[in-house]
Amino acid sequence: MANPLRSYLTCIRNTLEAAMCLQNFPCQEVERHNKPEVELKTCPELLLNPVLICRNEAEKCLIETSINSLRISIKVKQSDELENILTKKFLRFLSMRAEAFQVLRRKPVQFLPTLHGSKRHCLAHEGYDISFLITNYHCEDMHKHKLIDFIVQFMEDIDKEITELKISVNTRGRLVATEFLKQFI
Amino acid sequence: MAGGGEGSSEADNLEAIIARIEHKSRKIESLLKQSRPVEALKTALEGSPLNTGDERCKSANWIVVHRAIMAIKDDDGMFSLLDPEYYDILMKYLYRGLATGDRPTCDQCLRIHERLTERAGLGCILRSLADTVNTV
Amino acid sequence: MAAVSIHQFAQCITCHAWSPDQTMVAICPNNNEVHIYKLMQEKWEKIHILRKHDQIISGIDWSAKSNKIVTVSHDRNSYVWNQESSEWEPTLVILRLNRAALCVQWSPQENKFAVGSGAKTVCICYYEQENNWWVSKLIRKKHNSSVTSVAWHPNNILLATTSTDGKCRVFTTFIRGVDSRGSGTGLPYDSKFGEQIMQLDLSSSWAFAVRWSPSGSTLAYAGHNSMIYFVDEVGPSPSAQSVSFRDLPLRDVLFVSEKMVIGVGFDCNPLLFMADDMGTWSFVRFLDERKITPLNSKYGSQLLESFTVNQNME
Repeated sequence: MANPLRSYLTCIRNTLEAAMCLQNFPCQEVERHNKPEVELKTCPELLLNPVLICRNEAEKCLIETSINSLRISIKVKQSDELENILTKKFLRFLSMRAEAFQVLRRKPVQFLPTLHGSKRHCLAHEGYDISFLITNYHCEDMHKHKLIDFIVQFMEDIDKEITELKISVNTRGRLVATEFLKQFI
Repeated sequence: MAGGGEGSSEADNLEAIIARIEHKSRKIESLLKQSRPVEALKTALEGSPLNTGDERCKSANWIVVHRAIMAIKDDDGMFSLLDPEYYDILMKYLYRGLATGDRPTCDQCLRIHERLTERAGLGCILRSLADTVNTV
Repeated sequence: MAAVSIHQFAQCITCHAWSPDQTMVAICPNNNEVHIYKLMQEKWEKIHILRKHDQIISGIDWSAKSNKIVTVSHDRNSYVWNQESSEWEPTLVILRLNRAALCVQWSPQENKFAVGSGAKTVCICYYEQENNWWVSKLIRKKHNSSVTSVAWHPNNILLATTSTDGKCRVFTTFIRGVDSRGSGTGLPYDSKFGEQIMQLDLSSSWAFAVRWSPSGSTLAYAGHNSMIYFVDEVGPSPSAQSVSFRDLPLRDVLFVSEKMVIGVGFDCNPLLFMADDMGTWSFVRFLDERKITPLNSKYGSQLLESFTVNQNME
């Protein structure tokens, strides 16, 4: 594995490991409710500083933490139009099946929340490709290190997956073109 | 104490902070010329304007810290000279660097982040995540 | 040192309390019930299930002298359980809360207990003989966020709290008719209720797990920023120490003696802190054997591969 990718993933793993200290926490605003505070954002004191970890301009990961939940949003590398379409379709496909993954959010985070004190970190106003939501209930049911492994493995595999898709699309395109042009011989 | 700093009291006016950062900047340039990057980093981290709400001060100090971080070539050498009291504030600036999306900055910050986590533990990351009052 | 013995009572235990003689333990298995286990012939047997709450139970305390159990829950209620013959009988406590109750502790004399809540208030509950129920008096408007823990000073009057606004506070809780005047330390604020005598703003993040040392001269609490705070000379001019450690944050602390504290939290391994002769606190070591870092499992890729992507893309 390329070294920069490894240190990018290590950084995300370490940050997740620190951030994923979640506990059951009932809603302060509404009686008898218990909601992920990171989604509601009604009580600023229950949120930690969001962190944005970039590998470069194109690949980044936003980690937002609250007392009972954690949201990870990922922007995947897309170097050309085809990769862009493939990423969109592939991740949409996964999002449609969000319940199978438990921690996958149906919609990626579209707008950056106002990061503490400023807009300066927000070079990624365009939104993310995919988001995960992890709550204290996930941490109670599953092992924390497995959850983190899953996220990191997902990020590791997604690049590979997109590249393979791209190759297979190109191969098929070439095949179709060859077949099509055969009739003119 | 690294970071906290005598310069961050509310009474201090912003001009004084900016002037101090400019002074730091000159000192850092001269330390870098003498090939003392760790001294430069310490100087940059000291007296950072943490609890001011003013973005201009924070950005000015970030430019200075960024200059010092980018000058670090030898990680082991750095950690042998950098006292643990600087770890928490350095971690905060590494996260600021990681948010820039600039490839050389990110590469440098990712590398130092990994080494710093090995040394200072996850507690250091938590102090950076959880401290919503003193931000960089 | 490794754990002396390990018993699996449930997949997840949210809170627990020991019986006065330590032969029984009351736990909440992450639901609305309290299970009481008793050690019988070297085996823990489930002997009672206390069912009354309708949401998760967030706090249990078992009084040492009067053998009463108090429970609080996210359903905003609290019950005091009395053992009558072989059964535990609940008495409802009139908490007057409109948010979840989060933590509970009996006062040293067991004539009061304190409940911290998500309504940013603390209820001091006491027994009213004439009506035969527990009523509460509220400390309002001091906390800016949920109250995460409460701790009684040995003098039965002072109460320390921590909150997710990051602060640790100490209040007086004198209740006329329950506490006798001059029963405490003889301090001037002795006979008032709800007076805040100290507010500590040491933590820059959520505060948890406040505890007094056995003599009541030192106060300890934990911050979510992987710090633990020790406070001496509680009063108008307290002296405080902050100890940062390299691991994940704590959720509860226990004074073993005046100079020794055990903290437990997200590291799943108790941390030992000690004060030296000068009174300087520091982290000493983990109590359990250091856990082995789990091997990278192929958890994620399996899930990804389970979809045959090419054929199914919309």
